[in-house]
Amino acid sequence: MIRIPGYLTLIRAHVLQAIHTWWLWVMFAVCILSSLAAVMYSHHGYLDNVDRYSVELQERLRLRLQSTLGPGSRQRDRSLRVLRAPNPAAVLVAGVERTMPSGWDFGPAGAESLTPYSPEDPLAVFDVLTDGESVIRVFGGLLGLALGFGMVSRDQQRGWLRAPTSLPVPAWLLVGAVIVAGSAVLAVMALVWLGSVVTLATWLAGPGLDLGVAWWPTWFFVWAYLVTMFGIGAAMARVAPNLLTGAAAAVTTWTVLILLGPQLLAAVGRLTSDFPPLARVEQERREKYADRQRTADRTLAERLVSAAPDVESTRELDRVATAAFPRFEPDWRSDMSDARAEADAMAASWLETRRRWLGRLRLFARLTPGTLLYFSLAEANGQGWTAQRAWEDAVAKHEAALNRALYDDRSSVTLGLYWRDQGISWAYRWHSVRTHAELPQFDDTELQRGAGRGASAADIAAAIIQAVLVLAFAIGYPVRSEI
Amino acid sequence: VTTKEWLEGNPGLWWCSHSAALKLLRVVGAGANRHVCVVPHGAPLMERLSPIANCRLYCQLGGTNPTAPDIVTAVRTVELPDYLAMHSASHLEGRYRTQTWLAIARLSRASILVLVDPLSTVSPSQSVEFARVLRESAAYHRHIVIAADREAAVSSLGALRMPIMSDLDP
Repeated sequence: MIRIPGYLTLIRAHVLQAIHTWWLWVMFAVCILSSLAAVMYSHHGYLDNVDRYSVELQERLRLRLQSTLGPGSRQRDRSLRVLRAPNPAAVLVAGVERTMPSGWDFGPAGAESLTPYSPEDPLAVFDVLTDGESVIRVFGGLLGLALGFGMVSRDQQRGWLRAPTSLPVPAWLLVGAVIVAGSAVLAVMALVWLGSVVTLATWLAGPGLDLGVAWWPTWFFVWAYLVTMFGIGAAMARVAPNLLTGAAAAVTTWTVLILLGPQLLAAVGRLTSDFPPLARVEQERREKYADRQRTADRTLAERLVSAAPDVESTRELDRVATAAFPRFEPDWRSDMSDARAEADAMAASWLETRRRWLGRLRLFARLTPGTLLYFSLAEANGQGWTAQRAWEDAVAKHEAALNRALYDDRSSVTLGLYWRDQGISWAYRWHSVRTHAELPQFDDTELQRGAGRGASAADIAAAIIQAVLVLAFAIGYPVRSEI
Repeated sequence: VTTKEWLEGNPGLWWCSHSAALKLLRVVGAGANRHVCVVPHGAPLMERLSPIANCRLYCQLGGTNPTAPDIVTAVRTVELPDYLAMHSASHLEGRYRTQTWLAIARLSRASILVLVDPLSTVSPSQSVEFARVLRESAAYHRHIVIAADREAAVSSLGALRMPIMSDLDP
């Protein structure tokens, strides 16, 4: 029967040995310093984005103040622009900050996305580790792997893990002690790393700006990732026939999982994406809607002219057409409604296809520790696809409200007619142009507060399963028959 | 005659090859068997713990809880100097590491003690002293088996070659 105090002493001794390992602290110092450098670099990008956001806000305000009549154009109107404020939490995990539109314009054909925030930096070619997450994924993963490999191989070198085990306890308990000790050390390291990164980011952001960092989910995912990498290192030490082979296998595994894994995922994602880019879809939608609108207007004009075959003057044509307009208005509105439905269906179909594709990618992303860390941290801190979805849904809702209030209920229709070889213009007005104050306003309070933020249960389960599987393998791998 | 039967009637200091020692351990049972103590190559210890703390750790893992006087007595019996017994094991020379393991084996009341290449870490000038301590320990344990692949490596210890019984013979 194993005495618990003895086992605790063994764990304590392993912890002491780990924290007296000099290279571990060198690696950890490199990890912390790299993270801080990445946060500072990323903060500069954030400040640039804030500048751009402020300029856009001022421009929108200027357009609104100048537009005394309100937006009535048949083109997209910049005074209606919805702007997304840059997220200061991007210094911790960039997530969708560089891919999500920085704003949306609205026109009769629907919303149109603006280009995402991206730093206009001549040194951007060196953008590899640009946020805290990427540093902990690359350096932290290497640190966890090296620690696991070092601690288990040290016990193997001692001879304690050879068959039959030298200590009067089963081998799996000896490896278990190493893993408990390593996990405890990594838990503290994850906390120190997170604390230092968030402290610097908060200090850089200035007082009063809430980064909205999800502390415990972030710590948990980082810790689970480090423990998984630790387990992989331990497993490599158990499996490899000697130290050199084990070290080579561990480094190769790290390269495959951390460097090649995300690239493979991206490559597979691009190969399996069966939808065009957003900009092209928006352009097609805009052109198709404009065509339909022109066709409907021309059809209406032809009907109005055909309703007045015997008139002699343009004044009389105007009178007859105005009188006949209510008769043809339902058909014209029906045509416009069909055009709207077609444009909306086009956008919805694209969005749905893209979301299905993203969902499939998320499933694959949970298979490797690196991609799982990236997506789980992004989701937990409001920088994931759920946050992007929240923005897309909010913009779609606003777009529908604007369509109802502005574009589907136009203040007037102006038709260009050819009548007896002369071009004339005829207008019908239902009501005056609505001012900005009368239009629905975009409310981003909830979005700025962090809609779509939160750890996904599937991510938590995947992180636990990954860690448990590799640790179970490291613990359960049979000892070699040698002394 | 099986190995177990042979061991019953032949206590003492023996040596055999590594492969034979491995088979012997399989036959008598090791690891969870507290009556067998294996001293790995290099006599490794927890570097951050003192020899006394190493003794306590090993015994606690095995389910025994010797008192502090018992541990000090065992350590002194195997002639580990007091000034070394209280300090970190990282400063111990090879001979004293093996002697710490002898103390561990004594405290865990091992009837079979298997040492893997014990002289590989002992300097020639200390081998005579070490051989004496080992022979004295043989009086306490029923069997001390030294695993070494060359007879020259164990000749100075006065160990006899252990016969290979049929159940050990491949």
